Amino acid sequence: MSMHAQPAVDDRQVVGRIAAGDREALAELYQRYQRVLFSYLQQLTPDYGLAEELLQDTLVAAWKSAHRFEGRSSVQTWLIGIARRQAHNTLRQRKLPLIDEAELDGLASTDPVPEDFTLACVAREELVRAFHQLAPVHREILVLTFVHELSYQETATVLDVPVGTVKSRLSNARRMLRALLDAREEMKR
Amino acid sequence: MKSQVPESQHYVSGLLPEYVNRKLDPFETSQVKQHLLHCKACQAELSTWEAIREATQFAIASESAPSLTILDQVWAKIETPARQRQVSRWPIRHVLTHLWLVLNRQVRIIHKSIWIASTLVGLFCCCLALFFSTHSPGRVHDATSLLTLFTAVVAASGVAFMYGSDKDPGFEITLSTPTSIRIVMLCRMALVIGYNFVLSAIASAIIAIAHGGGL
Repeated sequence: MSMHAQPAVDDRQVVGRIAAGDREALAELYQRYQRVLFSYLQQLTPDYGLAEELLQDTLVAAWKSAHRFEGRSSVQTWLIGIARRQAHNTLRQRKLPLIDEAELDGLASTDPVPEDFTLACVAREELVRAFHQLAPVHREILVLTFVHELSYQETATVLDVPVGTVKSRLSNARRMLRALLDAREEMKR
Repeated sequence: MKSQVPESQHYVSGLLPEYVNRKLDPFETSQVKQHLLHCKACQAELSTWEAIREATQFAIASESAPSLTILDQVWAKIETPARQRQVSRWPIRHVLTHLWLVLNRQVRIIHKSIWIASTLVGLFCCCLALFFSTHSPGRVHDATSLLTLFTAVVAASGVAFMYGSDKDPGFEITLSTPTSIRIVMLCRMALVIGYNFVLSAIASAIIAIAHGGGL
């Protein structure tokens, strides 16, 4: 289930119109990507009001930088990249918690772990609850991969990390899900 | 201890999230399909990724949407710098208007006793100078010196009592305004000193008239 269904060429034409100062084009782009951007920003901050503010800043930045968009990435990747930069700048300025990604990547491993396999047997509600308990950096990678359906390369572009790091973060997110579910099982006993 | 994983399984394992999303090219897709036919570990891992994908999509689908006014606020943010640029084309006019507004408001905020005390002291000095000039014409210059001294003392006293939480009823409101407190203080000082200057000028004029303009 992807949140967007617009052809990429059409998207680029819309960005071209924004670069020419067409206000309706920005409204059109917003209609197409509001869910994508807002769901992404909500993974970076639990504050609904701040997520809305970041969404506004993302659109303002898109309006101002549309003339610099060269179509080297998809419009969705471009917008999510802008949203991420806006979020990180604002969180840093306001001294709100940011995940130390370097530290997380240091724990990277892509080896399959046999005990992970049982995740498929867990009820969906349990998995959803565990998803909400994940660190923002893990929720972010899962949302980019499975909701926005970005490829490894596109995700690497958005996060400004190598493709290998994208794979290891995905793997770590899965491990953390497993750990959270195990901890809950332990508490039940 | 690191698990012993065949190279092909390691390779396919890395492709599974993209395989779940149908993002692989036809060649890679066929490679993964072939591998999955005989590898139980990768079959199980594929099921795990499918479950995670489904749970992630379900979690996001249940999140709230942004409010309907987002776009209006975006336009407000885009247009605000343009308005600020228009203002900055007339910096002197803007500064003067701002100063006028601050001075105008401060006149009402400064405590009335300062104006009354200055007027009474000014009146007293004026009477004193007139008294000296009438009864001891040779000491008129002493009277004018006295007027100068009193004007300076009254102005300084007025400035000392025009600001501060214990003397200024509007102190908290003043602090909450966007205008710098230094500007507010400078404006008040200019007003009190200016008022005393005007009073002493009037007193000087009265004394001069009393002497037939000979001072």
